Amino acid sequence: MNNLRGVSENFSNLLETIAIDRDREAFARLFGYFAPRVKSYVMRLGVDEAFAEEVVQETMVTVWHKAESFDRRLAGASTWIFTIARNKRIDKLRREVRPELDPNDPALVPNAGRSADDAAEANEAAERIELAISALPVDQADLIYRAFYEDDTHRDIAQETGLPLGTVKSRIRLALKRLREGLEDLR
Amino acid sequence: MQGESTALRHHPQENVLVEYSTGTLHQAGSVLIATHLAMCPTCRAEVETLDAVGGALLSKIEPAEIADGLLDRVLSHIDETPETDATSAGTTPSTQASVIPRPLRDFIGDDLSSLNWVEDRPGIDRVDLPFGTDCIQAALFRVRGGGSVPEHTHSGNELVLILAGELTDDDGSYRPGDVAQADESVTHAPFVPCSDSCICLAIIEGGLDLDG
Repeated sequence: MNNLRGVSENFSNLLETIAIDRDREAFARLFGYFAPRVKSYVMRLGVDEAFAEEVVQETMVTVWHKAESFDRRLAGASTWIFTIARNKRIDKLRREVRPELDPNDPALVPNAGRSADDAAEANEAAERIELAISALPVDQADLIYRAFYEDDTHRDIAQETGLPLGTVKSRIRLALKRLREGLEDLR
Repeated sequence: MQGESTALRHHPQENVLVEYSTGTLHQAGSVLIATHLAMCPTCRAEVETLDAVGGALLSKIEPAEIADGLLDRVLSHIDETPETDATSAGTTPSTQASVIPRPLRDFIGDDLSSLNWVEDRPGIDRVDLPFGTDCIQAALFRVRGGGSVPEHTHSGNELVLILAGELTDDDGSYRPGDVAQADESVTHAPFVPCSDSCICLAIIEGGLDLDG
């Protein structure tokens, strides 16, 4: 647990160093860890290597340019980079822009009673989720994995596994419930 | 300031939020969900958790081999001026009172009355939206106060986000920010229970059979 926390805090530190000092060495270290993973993620969703490396390139360039908008109170470093890679992939694949929330939108209804004062919050949550995923029963972990990393809709998963759609939905719901329970101590 | 009465009561089903977070959901559905998220802190927290699942899986994935020159290629790009950033280049509301959140506002602006409404059928006006496709209808509908939508079935998933006014069906009453979801199993005839028009964003897979 402590090791895990160390790793995750480390990435947040690297992002902050990049934001403040424009530090290329910190960026190279972040690249060394995340580029191979982002590539692996994109390739699993069924594209060739060249496309995957273009997504990696665009993702990492965006990480550099947007590092100052990273806020460790709101998201872990892995989560932040995952959402950038996900959006780059969609934009590139479908030639459309994924609609995103704008946290500064005056029309955004604010969270009631949630303070982001606890700087460790998102990082701790990320670690809890990793632990909770490891603890999931195999059939649930498999469905979560397929849903996130194989670009399957619930309908696709039902077709491929031969499970009824309702079963797929309820297993994913159950898995997510367990993941959330892993987080609950924090809130 | 925000009392119980303002809390939303109808949310999208969890599987739609999962498909939004993973990126499987089509653009039209994503516009609707992102707009709902801006109006609904509860679902926003839910999606943050789902995004964190995606992030956690990234640390567990087997890393792929990266071509030797990729880091250098990236480093050579980072000094270039970044591409126009969608987050900063978006629209700002023209009035303080704007209620249309950014994900939708970027497409339609924030003055619903100035849109190019066409009559869909008596009592119902429609504006088609640019993110619809051959298989997915994306439109704003305006149902006149006291009016109703003819009873209909669905050939796919239907997501409806209320933007103004109120809409009622057998499952309850929907107010701005609420999402009504229907599929093949649902036959309904929603109506507007008050004198104000109801304006909603509808994303309809496979289309409706309004006369069926």
